[in-house]
Amino acid sequence: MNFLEVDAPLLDGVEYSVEFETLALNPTHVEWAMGYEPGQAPDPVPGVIAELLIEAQRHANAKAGVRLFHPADVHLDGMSVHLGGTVFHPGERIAGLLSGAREVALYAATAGPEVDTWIRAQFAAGDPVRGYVADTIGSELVERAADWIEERVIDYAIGLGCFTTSRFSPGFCEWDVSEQHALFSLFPRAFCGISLTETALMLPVKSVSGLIGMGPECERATNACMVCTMKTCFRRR
Amino acid sequence: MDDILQRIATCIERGKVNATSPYPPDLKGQDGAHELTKAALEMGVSPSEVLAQGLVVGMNSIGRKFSENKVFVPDLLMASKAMQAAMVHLKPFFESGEAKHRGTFIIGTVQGDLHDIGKNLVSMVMEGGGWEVIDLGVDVSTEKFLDALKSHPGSAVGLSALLTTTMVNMEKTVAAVRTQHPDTKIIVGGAPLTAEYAKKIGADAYAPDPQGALDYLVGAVA
Ligand code: B1M
Repeated sequence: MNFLEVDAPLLDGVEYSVEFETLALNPTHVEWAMGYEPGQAPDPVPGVIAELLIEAQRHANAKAGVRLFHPADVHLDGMSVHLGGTVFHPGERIAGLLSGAREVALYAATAGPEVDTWIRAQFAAGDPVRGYVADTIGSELVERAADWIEERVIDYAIGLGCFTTSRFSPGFCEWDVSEQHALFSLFPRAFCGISLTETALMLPVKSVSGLIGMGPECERATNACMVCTMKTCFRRR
Repeated sequence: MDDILQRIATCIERGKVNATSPYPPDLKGQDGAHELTKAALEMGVSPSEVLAQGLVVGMNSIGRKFSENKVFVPDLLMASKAMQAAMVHLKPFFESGEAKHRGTFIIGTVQGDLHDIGKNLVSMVMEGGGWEVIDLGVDVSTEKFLDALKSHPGSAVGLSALLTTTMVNMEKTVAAVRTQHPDTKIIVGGAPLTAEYAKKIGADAYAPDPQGALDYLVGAVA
């Protein structure tokens, strides 16, 4: 399946392929992700971005999907999140922002293994600027695949009379990355083609995971940087 | 002489590789790091002066701007490309012993971690700062670090990691290096690292960025 009808229900445990066009990645996104304000990247970076965005289209194989947890299986206690029998410890900050969530969507998204291979090939060709631009395009592709699945979750929540929280991922703020293992235990095997290493690294590298809370009082942060505790981040705006 | 060294520094900082490179546009048609380094050596400027007053000045300047978020990764990569073009002319002098590195720096991304962009940037800035760099790559075991130290005694060691789950593997490497080569300077870096964590595992320093690693080591060996 590569798209959802506007009124189609979001299906639990189903992998969706997301077309490159749907991700609508543009040069400004890529510049922004490198730290530049729009139009501020020096030559030859804008030309490389334009060229590699065209190439990326041939390699992108984005997938995304969710597991949905309903009120009977969701329990929040201000410190931890219980989904069925699995407990997560996202830390006080994220747990606080999730308070009021009745339903939870766990999500995973990837740009696909071909994107990792393409990025490696760009670096191997000997021009690190091209390699880094390709790497940033890969990161933005998966971020936009995650935006896409988040929008589906928002639609689903509206159908329940709910709002959503922001996306929260293991590894952000005080949430330990090692809880990726618990998170992936709730997905079907090799969900969206993603596997986890012992050190909780997702492969393909250009993959993301996390959860979104849904409830009548839930709110999304207007700026993700306001939630994130990484003060030294070069992307912080 | 000062003028040509200043021009080399500018070419490095601005990523002007050679006369044919069209970037940056305002230096189009002018000589780049390649031609100017060759010319300086032909004029009789010593390789050590070219390194210290040309390459190191240019790389330090871009490294500092990067630390201050005034420029970003592509700017640093372009500077490093220009630095490599200049280095080609200095390499024979390093090999003959006429020019000396400030020291040797062994770097790798720790076991279980496959990220290399940050580590590569540190390598480039260290090289531009006059250090010989031994890059062990990614997913590097403690044994590999120890082997490299055996082949390059007296080197400093740098460890990089991008996730907290792999950062913990630094502790074992630091402990083994401390036991077998107690005087080694060990520096750690990467997005999840902090100065507190560096201290906790017994590293000498945490560097938030490549310039921080260079500044620490320059101070430590001075
Ligand atoms: C020896 O001396 C030294 C000295 C300095 C040293 C050094 C050694 N080594 C490095 N340095 C330093 O110098 C370099 C230049 O300044 C720097 O090197 P870096 O390698 O850090 O920097 C690169 C040159 C550029 N930096 C980057 O490319 C990373 C940028 C940030 C924004 C980032 C990105 C882009 C991405 N990510 Co994510 N990501 C973040 C990053 C936040 C940040 N600002 O760093 C980080 C690394 N990510 C994080 C997380 C949690 C995750 N990410 C994930 C995913 C992603 C994307 C796919 C969206 C994307 C690409 C990731 C990739 N690996 O390709 C997930 C993991 C992916 C996987 N495969 O498993 C996921 C686990 C989230 C999830 N659950 O989905 C955080 C890690 C925190 C932790 N607890 O470990 C994170 C710090 C963000 C945050 N705000 O907390 C310095 O660290």
